[in-house]
Parts: sequence; C-alpha cells; structure tokens
Amino acid sequence: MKTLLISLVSGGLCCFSLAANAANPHKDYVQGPFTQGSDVTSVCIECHEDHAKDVMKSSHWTWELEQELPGRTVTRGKKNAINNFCIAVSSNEPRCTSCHAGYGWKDDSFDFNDMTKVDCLVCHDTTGTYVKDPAGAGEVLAKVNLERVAQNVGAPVRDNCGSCHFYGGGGDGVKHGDLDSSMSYPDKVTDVHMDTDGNDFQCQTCHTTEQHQITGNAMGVSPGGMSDIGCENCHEAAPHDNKRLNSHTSSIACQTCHIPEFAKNEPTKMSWDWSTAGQDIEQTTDEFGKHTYMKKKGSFVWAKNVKPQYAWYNGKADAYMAGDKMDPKAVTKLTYPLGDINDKKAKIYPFKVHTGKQIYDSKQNIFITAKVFGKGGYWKTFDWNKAAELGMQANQAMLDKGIKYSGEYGFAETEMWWRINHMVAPTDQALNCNDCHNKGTRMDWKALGYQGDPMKNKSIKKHATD
Amino acid sequence: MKTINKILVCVTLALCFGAQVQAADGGNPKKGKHLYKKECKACHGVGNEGGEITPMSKTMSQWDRFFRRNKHKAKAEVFNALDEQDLLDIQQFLYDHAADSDQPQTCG
Repeated sequence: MKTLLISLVSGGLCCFSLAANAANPHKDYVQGPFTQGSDVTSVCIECHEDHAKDVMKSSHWTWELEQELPGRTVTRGKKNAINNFCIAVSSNEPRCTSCHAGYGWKDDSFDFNDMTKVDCLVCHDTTGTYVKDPAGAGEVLAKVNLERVAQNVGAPVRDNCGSCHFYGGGGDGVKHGDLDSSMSYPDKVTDVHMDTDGNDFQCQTCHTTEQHQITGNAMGVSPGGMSDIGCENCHEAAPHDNKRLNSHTSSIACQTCHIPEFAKNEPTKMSWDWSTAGQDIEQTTDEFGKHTYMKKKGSFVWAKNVKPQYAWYNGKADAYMAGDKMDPKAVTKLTYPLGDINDKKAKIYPFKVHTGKQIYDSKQNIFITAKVFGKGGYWKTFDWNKAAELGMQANQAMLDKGIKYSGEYGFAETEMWWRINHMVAPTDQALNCNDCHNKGTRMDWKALGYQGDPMKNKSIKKHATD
Repeated sequence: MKTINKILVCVTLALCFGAQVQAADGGNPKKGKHLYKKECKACHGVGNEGGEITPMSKTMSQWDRFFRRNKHKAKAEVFNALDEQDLLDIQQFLYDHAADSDQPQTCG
C-alpha cells in the first residue's frame, strides 16, 4: 500500500512540475486578473516601456506617415486615405479601428500619447485565442482570457499579422488578393517561402523589423514607398542559370513571372459598386458563397485564381488625397504605380486592380467620406445625404481644407492598384516564354508602351535600361 | 484500506487527472485547425477511408473524452505520431467548434 501511495503522490507531483516547466518567463511575472487590454499593457510597460514608445512611432500606431507624392509632401495613411472599399476611417472608427494596434480609438478624441493604449498582445499572442471586438474600437472581446494570453507572449507568427492583414476590408482576402487566411499555414503551391513543410518563413523573415519598425509599404496607404522590401534582399539580381532569363531582370520584376496568379485558395473582392446599395432586393451570392449584392453595401464581384494586371512601377506611386478634385466622367485612380517604358528604374510589375463606384460631391467634384457605421450612418439610415454630411463633418482632413458637403451627390468610378508580392509559386509554375511572347496574351504590349511583342520584333522601342 | 489512505488516493488521483479533466485548454486553436486539416482530413474528408468527421461530429465533452481516453484507438499509431502540443492544438480546435460550442464548424 505504501509503495502505491508513494508512486501515486510522486505521479501527482510530476504533473505539477511538468506544468511549471513549460513556463514562459512571463508566467511568473504577469498576474491577473485583467478586465481590459490596457490593464495588461500597464504591466507590460513596467519592463518594456521603450518598446511601447517604439510602437508609438510606427505606422501600426499612428496610421500615417509623411511621404512624397509627385509634386507634394503629404501625411498619409489609413487615418486619412480614401479607398474604394468602405471609403474612409473617419467617422467609422469603432469598426475600422478594430485593427488598430491599440485600444479605444473610437473617435477623434483618441489620445495617441497614452502608452497604456498600445495593444502588445495582438502581435505577441501565442495562444491563438486573442480576438479583438470587430466593432469595438480595438478593444478585446470579453471572452478572451487575458491573463493566459499575457503569460504566453512570444515572437509573432503569421497568425498574428494575419489577424488584421488577411482580413482587411472586413473579411477573408477582401483587399489584397495575395494575403488571406490560407497564408497562415500555406502549402508550397500557395507560397514557396511560407510553406509550412518547407521554408516556413514568418512575415518578419522578409519584413525585417528593428525597434518595432516593420519594413514594407502597402501602396494604398503608403504610395511614397519609403521602406519597400524586395526579393533582392535575399536573391541575386541575376539569379537564373539561364542567361536569357537574367536579361529580363532589368525590365521585369521577379513577381511578374513568379506570381502567375493570386487568390489561390480564397476568393478576393475585385469590384464594389456602392451606387446600387439601399434597394430592398434579393441578397445574392456567387459560386464561392460570397455576397454579390447586399442592401447595405451594394454590388460586389469576387474572383479566385486571378491573373494579375501588369504595369510599369518604379517603386513610387501616386494617390488621391482627401479634398482633391476629380472628374466624375473619368475613372479616378485612388492609388496607382508610377513609371513607364522610358523610366530606367521602372519594371513591369503585377497588380490587383480593385474597381469601385463610390459617392462624390457632385457640386464640388470631390470624393465624399460618408459615415456608414454607427449612429446616423448609412448602414442604419440608408440615407446618403445624412451619411455624407455626418462623414464630412467628422473628417479632419476635409475640415482643414474648409470643405463641407454641398448637399448633392452622385457616384463615380474608381480604381485602386494593389501590388502583388505574396503567393510566390514553385519554379515549375512560374510563367514561361510563351505566356507573354509569341501567342501569349499575358502582356498587353501596346498598353505598356511597346509597339508589339519585343521578342518578335527586335527593331521596336525597348525599355530604357543602362 | 483505511479511510485516510482512501482520501490520499482520491486526492492524488485528482492531482493527476485534474488538469486533464478541463482538457481543452492550453491548445492553440488556429494551429489546431491547420493540423486538423493536414493530419485528420487525409482520412476523414468526404468519401475518404475514415469517413467524414468534422468538429461538429461530437460535442465538447465528447471531444475531450476522445482525446483523454479513446486516443484514436481504432488506429492508435496516428496519435502516437503527433507530439503532445500538436494533439492539444487539434483538440482545442475541435472543442472550440464542437456541435454544442458557441461557434460550431462543419469543416476546417
């Protein structure tokens, strides 16, 4: 009996010590209970104050960066950009700021100097259980066990970055096209670099980070492209064994041949027409089960396995800024790449082009940032006049320029160009010569500034290279 | 057995198994979803040899019992091939999306 007792007792102790041995260094230090995210941050900054300060300098916190656009210096970011999805953050904060790396940005009064509002956990959760309220201004859902999350913090994995970057636009794969939930644990065909059974790169393997400043710029919010990263950070400029392939690299971006399609697993939104919203007609879905009409939002087009559009890109882009004049009869490019066949720095690059039809002020010819979410918003009232008035009143960028809603609106066409950088295919799936040349139709040579296929006709104008 | 011994045995057993009773805790459900699709769906997809199984095929406590007691008895080697944390992650995903959970899911 004694022996049995001893073995049972020691077995029990073993269970205890096993649990204790699995400890993260934060386990002993961080003690709850915590009722809200900023309670946790208050504990984090007891040791990590400098880290919080670094985060507060980053665009993950400020949602804006000073950058150069052609002919002007602007401060731009999610905070003031106009897109052709839900249009703008201003006046819609509690919904949009659910992806802010902070807590409580519910309106203009948010204090960007309050360190306790930094959300450490969204990037450093390793339990996979941390979820922000989708319409709670960045606050955490009540069901999250904050103590457990805080005691298990660690280096970010794809799931962390993906909790926002895979779901931008309010759903899986809506915005980017090359970033969606399938990139959390991709296979080789989806992405050769992040393949979980191969290289298993995390986001920060390429998006190198120092002092919480994460490199890389999405073109929509950061057209200035100050911290772009590229394949050349790891690969040589002439990486192929084949000399003829290497002769392409001064004019063709790596991505062009090596990302032949995006949205490989999940469909992405290709078009959003707000002008049809507000009708009491059937809410329809497509072959993927995605909405094609919603009363609140209008008409959508989704696509999967999409071939990119190609354009010259020299690393810089231009963008529509709040208050800029537009031509309602033309398609306004809200963000688009700069460069052409005469630009030595430009290369032919792949893009997702998201088209839209969105509200503008038909007296002043400027795009309107309507209030869609919350009290008085379009999704409650279905009244564009009211939504326009409230949205413009709440928009600091408009107020700074003295712009008010005139009382008349229409809908105008827009385009947003998104760079395609992820979902790099295995070598055997990269484009071949004949995808573009001879009978290949990938490239619209004329639109790119060539008279025709430059391989067939050597005498025609070529890209200006050194 | 003396009463004191009985109590000691009970306490010890509770110490041993207590943690496992509230089993689905401590796993990473996101990683679990990936592992479930990769490891389980190979045999348990529609029309596959093991028959289709989804998180909704069982209740939360059924999943816990499956991982605590059954341990894939029908083909024990597949569980043995996975490490403890992987199994916990899978269990967490299945538990979180079981038939009687807040967010039942039919598939990964």
